[in-house]
Order: sequence, then structure tokens, then C-alpha cells
Amino acid sequence: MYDFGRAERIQNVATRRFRPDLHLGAHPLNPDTPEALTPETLCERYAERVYRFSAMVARHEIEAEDIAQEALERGIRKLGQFDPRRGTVESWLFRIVTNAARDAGRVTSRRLALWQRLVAQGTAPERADDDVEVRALARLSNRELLAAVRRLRPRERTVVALRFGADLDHASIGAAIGLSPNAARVAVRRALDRLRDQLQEENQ
Amino acid sequence: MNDDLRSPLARRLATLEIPVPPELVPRVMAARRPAARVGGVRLVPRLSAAVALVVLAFGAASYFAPRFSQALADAPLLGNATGPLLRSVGLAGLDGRITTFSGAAVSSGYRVELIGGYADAIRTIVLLRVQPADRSVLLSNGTGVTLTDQFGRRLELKGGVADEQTGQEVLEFEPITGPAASLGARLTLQAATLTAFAATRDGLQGDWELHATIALDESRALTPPGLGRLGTMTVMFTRVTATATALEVQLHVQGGGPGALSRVIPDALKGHPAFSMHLWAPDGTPAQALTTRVDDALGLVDTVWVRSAAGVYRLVVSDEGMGTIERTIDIS
Repeated sequence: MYDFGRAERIQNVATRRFRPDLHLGAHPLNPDTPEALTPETLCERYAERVYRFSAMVARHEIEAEDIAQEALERGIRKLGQFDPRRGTVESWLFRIVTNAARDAGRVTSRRLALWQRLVAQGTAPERADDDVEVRALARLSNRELLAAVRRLRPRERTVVALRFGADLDHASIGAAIGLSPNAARVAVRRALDRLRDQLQEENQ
Repeated sequence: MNDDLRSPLARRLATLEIPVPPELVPRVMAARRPAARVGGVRLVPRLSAAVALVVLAFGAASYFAPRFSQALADAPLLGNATGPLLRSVGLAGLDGRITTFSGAAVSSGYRVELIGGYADAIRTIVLLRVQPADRSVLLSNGTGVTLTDQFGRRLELKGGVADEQTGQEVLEFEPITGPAASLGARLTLQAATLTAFAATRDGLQGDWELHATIALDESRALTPPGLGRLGTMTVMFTRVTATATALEVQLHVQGGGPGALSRVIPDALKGHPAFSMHLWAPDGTPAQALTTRVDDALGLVDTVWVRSAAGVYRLVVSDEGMGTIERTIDIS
């Protein structure tokens, strides 16, 4: 476009005349394009979900804040690497978020083999009676339920946090932790069963 | 997809109230653009915050390390710079990466405003506006404008573009390096001459001094491609740098003899250079070249292109009549 090894050539370039053009702010941006992803929009759209995920996998609130902050910072640093042809923003971001939690020791790295075994075992058994569950849950405070999630094994709390904290669908959960959508669905169901069993054991 | 939300436990988890700490996002934004920082969850965040507070208490220290306060003050939009100027430096549509400024200086009846800026490991760009817009611009062959950081290091002016009808200008300087690159740069722009494009008036002397604070955008050094041969010349790719907005490729040519890089092929017009470099974006379109610097004596070529998207770029280096080298550069 312009080519000057020496500053003296500026004068020639500067004599070009430009016609008035639209201001930057007048261009609508497609929210799915990398150009539309700025640090501000990333935080605005995803900070709450990233924190909900972090709160579920962390041991306590301070660690949750640290994981969420680290995850968002990594996301911002890698904004230029997001490629919409390879998947959604959610899948891309929560792979980063999951890695941040793993680095903090709150997400297991040996997940794949286990999930495949879970898939092979088939679906979970029938759930307990919903009315009983509703009554039991009514006695639990938010803090107690969150603490129960945090006591799950890393692989279980990860899928629970991705599904119910980050509000990801099964395809995005699978993309975040390297599973097929169906395997992710089974993993979430098994983790819920495990949490339910854990709560029942603690109530007895 | 929502079949696992049927159970009361799942519904309770999905609606579990987990308030987001109000300081989370400000902390993230304050720490943004740390290109060289390696990740890792901080083990003692409260201690870090305390240390940061102590550091910030020292005014002099904060003057030389302005990154955090500046980052918080970034404004997302740059409504004053028109598209052609920004396109000429590959920044059109990247308003989120441009830091807006509001400094102005008045001298000799002319107001020079510092509208915005952008900096990364390849270049430093400032956006200006001269008022009244009467075909006077702040370029003056590059001799009347200086840009220095808070440590007194002067950044060399590389070039610029001006719209004499609106008084808007884009000036490109060499990249910020040294401590200012990691701490954030507190820049001072000084100008002494306005050049008149109208033939009836000479350059106007004055004293315009403007200040701005800017942090470097992210960048990444990539592994250079392998060397290749073009006739008797050996082409070694010595540096490849990718930033959020641009891609820089530097190469060193040996064995071509004097004038090898500036050889011109006659074509009944003005002729065209025999040696050329072209880059194709991942979607197959030619990448927009921003600057090319050739040092024939040292055999160095340094070219910067607009980086349009992540993916695999195709680089072609040719010496007409001698051969072609093709390499790929993966920026994913």
C-alpha cells in the first residue's frame, strides 16, 4: 500500500486525497467473527459463565476468582487465534478455561479413557423419586450444594461445572474436554448420579 | 440437549446463585495485553494485589510503568479516524485494539490533536488531526516530528499518510522496545513544523507537544521457514513475527552480488523489480503489504503485511528469471 524505507517519501504519500468514509463505529460487526471479539466483549459475554464454572471446580472463592481471572486473561491473549471455522466461541473459550482449571489442579487430565469406559457402560440407572429429591434439595443451601459439587472427583465436577455452571450444551462440553457429544451427555448424567448419591449418603 | 435438566437436582444446579465478584472483570482488564507473560494461576492473589497497591503508591514508579492505569482507561471506539487512513496501516475494523487519546496542543493558530494510537512488536502508530484543516499537515519530511518514550528513547519515524481535506494523519514509527515495551509506554510527540500543501504558503513554525500512554498489543515470534535458493542467491528467513494486526517477515540474501535486490526488469514502461515477495492469506487472497524495506548492501529485506485471519499463509519469494521459493507460515 505504501512503501517507504525513508521518511522523505512521506511527502509523496501525503499528497494523496481521500474521500470521506464511514467512521469505524458505523460498521456493524458480526458477533461470530474474530474481529468482533474484543477483550471487552469477551468479558461482557462470558465472565459470569466462566466464574460459575470456576466456582464449581475450585476449592473456595479465592481460588475460583484466580481460575476465572487466569482463564479470561488467557482467552484475551489468544483472541487472535480464534478461528470460527473450527468451532464456536464457546467451545474455543471453554477449552482455554478448562485448561486453566487443569493447570490449577482442579480438572483431571486423564479424562478421556474414563469417559469412554462410562460410555461403554451405557446409561445410568433410573433416578430416585423426584418428589423425594425436591424435598431433600429444599433443605440444602446454595453454599452446601456448591460444596457438594466441589467434593466430586475432578472429572465429575468438571462436567457438572461445564454443563450447569457454564451452561454449555453437550457438543460444547465435548469440544472442551475431548469427548463426543454423546459421551459428554453420558458423562454429565453419571456425574449427576454421583452427586445425587453423595448427597443422599451425607443426609443419612 | 436439555434432557439432563429434567431432574430437580439438575434444575437446582443450573439456577444455583453464584454471584460474580465485582472486581473480577476490572482485574482482568487491568492485566490485559501481557504478551510476554506466561500463564499459571496465581497462588497468592491477595499478596500480589497488596504489592501492586504499594507500587502504585509511588507516583514516580507509576509514571514509568503506566500499563495498568492506561489499560483501564482504554476506550473501545475510535470515532474520529476515517476508514481510508486506518486501512492504509491495516487497522480498519480493529477499533477495539486502538487506544483512544484526547490530548491537544495549540500553537501558531493551529490545534493538533492526538486522536489514538496502536503499538505492537512490529510498529507504533499514532493518529492525529490538525485543525483548521486547510491542507496543512504535520509531516514535514519527517524532520519536524519526534516521538519519545518515558525513558528518553526516540522512535524513528517510518512513514505516514494524511488526508489534507480533513486534517487527519496516521504516522508510523518503529516499535517500542526496552523497558517501555513491558511496562507500557508514556509517549511524547513533539512537532515544530506544519507543512502546507497549498502552493501559496510555506511551512509554518510552531511548538506542538502531546502526551499519550499506550501498551503493546500481543505478538508472537514464529519459527522462520527453511532457507531456499534463487539462482546463485541463498535466501535465509531470519525472523517471522505475528501480531494481532500484522505479519512481518525478514530475510537475508547471500550470494547475489551488489544490486541483486534492486535489479529492474525493463518492460517498455518504467520497468519492474526482479526481486519480489508476495503473501497470500488463508482464504487465497493477496495480503495487503504495508511496508517493505530493502537494504541492498546488506542483503536484507523486511516486509510487513496485514494479518487478516488465523490460518496458513503462503509466502512466495521470486527473482525473475532465477526462480521462486514458496513457503507456508502457520498463524493459528
